[in-house]
Amino acid sequence: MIFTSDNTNKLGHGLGLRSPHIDYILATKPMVDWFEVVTENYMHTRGNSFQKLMSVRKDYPIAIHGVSLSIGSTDEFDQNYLQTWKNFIDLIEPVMVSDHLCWTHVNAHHSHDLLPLPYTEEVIKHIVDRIDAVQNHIARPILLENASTYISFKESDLTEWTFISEIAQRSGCGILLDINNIFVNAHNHQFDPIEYIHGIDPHKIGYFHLAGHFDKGTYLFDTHGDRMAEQAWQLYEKTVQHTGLKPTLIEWDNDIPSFDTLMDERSIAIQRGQHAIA
Amino acid sequence: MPSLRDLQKKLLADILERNQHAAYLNHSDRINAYGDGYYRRFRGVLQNYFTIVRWYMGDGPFAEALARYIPSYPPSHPNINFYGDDFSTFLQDHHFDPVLIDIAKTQTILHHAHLQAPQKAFDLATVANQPLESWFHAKLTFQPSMTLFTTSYPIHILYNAYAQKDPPPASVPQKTMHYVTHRQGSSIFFEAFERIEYDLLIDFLAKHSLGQVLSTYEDQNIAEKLFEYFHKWQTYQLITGISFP
Ligand SMILES: [Fe+2]
Repeated sequence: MIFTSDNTNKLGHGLGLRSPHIDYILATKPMVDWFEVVTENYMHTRGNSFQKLMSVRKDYPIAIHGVSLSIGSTDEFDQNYLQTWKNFIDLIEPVMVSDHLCWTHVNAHHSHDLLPLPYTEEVIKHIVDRIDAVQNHIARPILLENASTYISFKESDLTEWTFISEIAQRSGCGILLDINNIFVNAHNHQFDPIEYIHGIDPHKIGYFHLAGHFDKGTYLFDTHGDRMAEQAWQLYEKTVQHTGLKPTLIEWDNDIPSFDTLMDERSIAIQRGQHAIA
Repeated sequence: MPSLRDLQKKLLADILERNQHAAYLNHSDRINAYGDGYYRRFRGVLQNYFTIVRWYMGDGPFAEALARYIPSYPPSHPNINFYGDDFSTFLQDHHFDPVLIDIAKTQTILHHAHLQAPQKAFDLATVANQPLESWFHAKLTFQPSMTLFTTSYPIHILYNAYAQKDPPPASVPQKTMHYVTHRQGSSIFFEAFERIEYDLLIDFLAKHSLGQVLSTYEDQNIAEKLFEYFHKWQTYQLITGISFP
């Protein structure tokens, strides 16, 4: 199964759908091209939140973005999770299905965090096999997002961008490229973010995530609780110059602002993208 | 070279222990970016989940209880929203105030009732012309969110006090309660039911036919009351269907 960005490239600019805004969205039908939801907030329920998502879905394309697939885990797959996920996908018919290039549990102890992986050939092989199993299970390609990290393994002998590119190339999965996460990791691990961007095949990129981070002094911390930093916007522009315009999503999970603020951040993304290709 | 599995086991252990000197890591002094996050995340989930337990306990004791619960109950569910399902068991195992255990149980039951798909309530008028003899074999289906549970304390009084923003009462009298959850729009409520009515619902939930139920309660002259109950259950939108085989 091979992801191709051809079908989704024109999707436009979306927002992360957050529960405080749903009633407003249903009532006012704002001009947003698409919404992304966190898979786990909906996959285990058919209650009110799910019913509302089904209503939003009537007016907007929906992408689902998971946090618990744990593609890099060495535990066996949780078959219950996979089946519930597939059932949810069949109901929502999302435009894109994604999770993170990370691991979240070992010995069935769920950290509910996106934990880093060693960047080695052995790990690439492990993950490619697991992506294959997952994509066959849901009968469609997935996208994996580059996560923010604060530590790294001494064992790593590949760059992060080689690691993610190789995985996408060999498994056929797509990449959800989080620009803020590249910016955060470049700072935290002292690499050139432009080299990262140029190491990624644009055809593999399904969409971009844009979000805010927090400066902890000795490192940058990914918060999803603020606007994009100016330097991260500059990286976004340079990325678009390399890849061309791609679907772009404003991701905001903590200290959720007014819907207008999200719309404003979305407008900035449109302007910065246009500016990049002008 | 250690296997990926060994590295993952080590990293999770080091995160939980906040080991800032792990030799296999670069920047291991930043381990608390993960370690702090771990505890903060689960505290956040539990604070949102157990609002009434927290109100009844007070912020300090509640925080202390979480500080004991989180290390002793590693999350085993892939969905973080379910972290807390074992909290009432934890309170029970550690001999907390039995009122708290009942509140936590109630909050967990309501949490799960919320996850069920709302179904259209049944209109009794549509079966008004059913021949009398067919009612003997009639079976009922109920709102998927309908949950029956018992507590040793009148928890609904505490819910009302919480809703009124009252302080928690100094003491709560012990009293066995039979509760039934019901849906109103997007909200789930629970109501105290008479013992007999509660038992009837359990029998119908177990797919006993009307005839079987009537014979079970033969000596209690239930037939007339049942008619009354049906109407009450209809107003609570509990009945979603009646089948006549
Ligand atoms: Fe992201």
